[in-house]
Amino acid sequence: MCRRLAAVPLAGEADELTARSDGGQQAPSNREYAVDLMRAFGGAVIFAFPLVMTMEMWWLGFYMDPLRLFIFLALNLAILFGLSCFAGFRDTFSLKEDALDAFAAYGVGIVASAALLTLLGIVTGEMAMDEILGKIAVQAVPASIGAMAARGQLGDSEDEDDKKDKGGYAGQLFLMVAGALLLAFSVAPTEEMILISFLMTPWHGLALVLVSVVMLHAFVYSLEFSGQEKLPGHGSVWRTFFSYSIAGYGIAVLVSLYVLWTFGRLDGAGPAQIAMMTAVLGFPAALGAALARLVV
Amino acid sequence: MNQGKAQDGGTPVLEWISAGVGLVLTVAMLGFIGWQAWTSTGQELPAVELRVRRILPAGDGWVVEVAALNHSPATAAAVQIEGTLTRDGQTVAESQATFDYVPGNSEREGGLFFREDPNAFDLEVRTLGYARP
Repeated sequence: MCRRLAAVPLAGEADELTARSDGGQQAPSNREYAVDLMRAFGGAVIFAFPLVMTMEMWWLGFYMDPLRLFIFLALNLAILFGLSCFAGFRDTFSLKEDALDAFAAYGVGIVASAALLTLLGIVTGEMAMDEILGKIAVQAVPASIGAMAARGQLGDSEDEDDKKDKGGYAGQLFLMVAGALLLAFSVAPTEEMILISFLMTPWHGLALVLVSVVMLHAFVYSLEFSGQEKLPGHGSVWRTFFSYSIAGYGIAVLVSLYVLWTFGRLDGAGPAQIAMMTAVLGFPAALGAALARLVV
Repeated sequence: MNQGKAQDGGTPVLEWISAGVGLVLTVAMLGFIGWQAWTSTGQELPAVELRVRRILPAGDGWVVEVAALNHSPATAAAVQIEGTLTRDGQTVAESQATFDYVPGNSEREGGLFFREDPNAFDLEVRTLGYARP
């Protein structure tokens, strides 16, 4: 994917390269990389601590199906790799460096979540090894995304907009997937999420779907015209609505279903329950999809 | 054809696909939940049926795996279940468990532990009660 995305604005990339070599900073020094790494740790801690302090997240290690956990961790690596194309620790120009950045972010996420879990006494030496590893592996997912996003938010962001434009429409869709996944994952493990779906009547569910779409569109629309972000292929209001807001809500629904399946919430559930849970989880997922371009 | 359109600054295929998928999913969500809203009265009560799935040795006793099936769209919380072992009308052992939730039209599984082998007695499982979530 990266290769295809990167191939779009070849001219711009070449300019960037020239500008960099003119400035005499082709490759980051070890010191610069260390500073970026510290920044990544900061991002990892910020993204991870709400989930580290969530009880259900500690239990995920035992009740989560190992195969689904494995698929989820592999998917996280793919998301990190994709994010590296848009916002890594440093500007990357090749698949190899994007892969290195993805692994580095995962490493930072694992170390940061292991440190936090130990610091808070959630993981102790008396626990079985697979329990410790399971807890760290699950917490490393938000931590590693935080590590990857840290550069975009905390770092110097002069090239950021260029990087985001690289992806074009496909890149925007990818960012929406990543944002939806992060926010849906943040709330899906909690019991409140299913309890809410039991408290709501179908009328509430209907209203929540509509509110999700409207809010998603409000974010997309306001971002497009704030001058911060130019949407690729921006055209009429209706085209923005369907290509970004409705497509974004479709992504939110699919991501919600995937996250629900990952946490075993779909097992034994009837279609009406599944629809309600998807509507509930679709709300944070839609917000995540809308805000991804700001956060990352 | 699509290439020509894209060159005119038209809509790329990917945009059609993702907007189309999004539209189908959004309409499906609205349609299905709307249909649920239309058909449900909101007055339903939970109807939980228990089924014994398996009886297996567990630790120093036995476990009876029980599935709770809710046939109503109403969700039941804190569903208490009880299993009784009897022989010739005499109660030999009792065991209880609680399901946090049995969602509407859904299924949850749990287990009852017994010291005695349930296969050697008459086993009866029943629901005791529930709370509204």
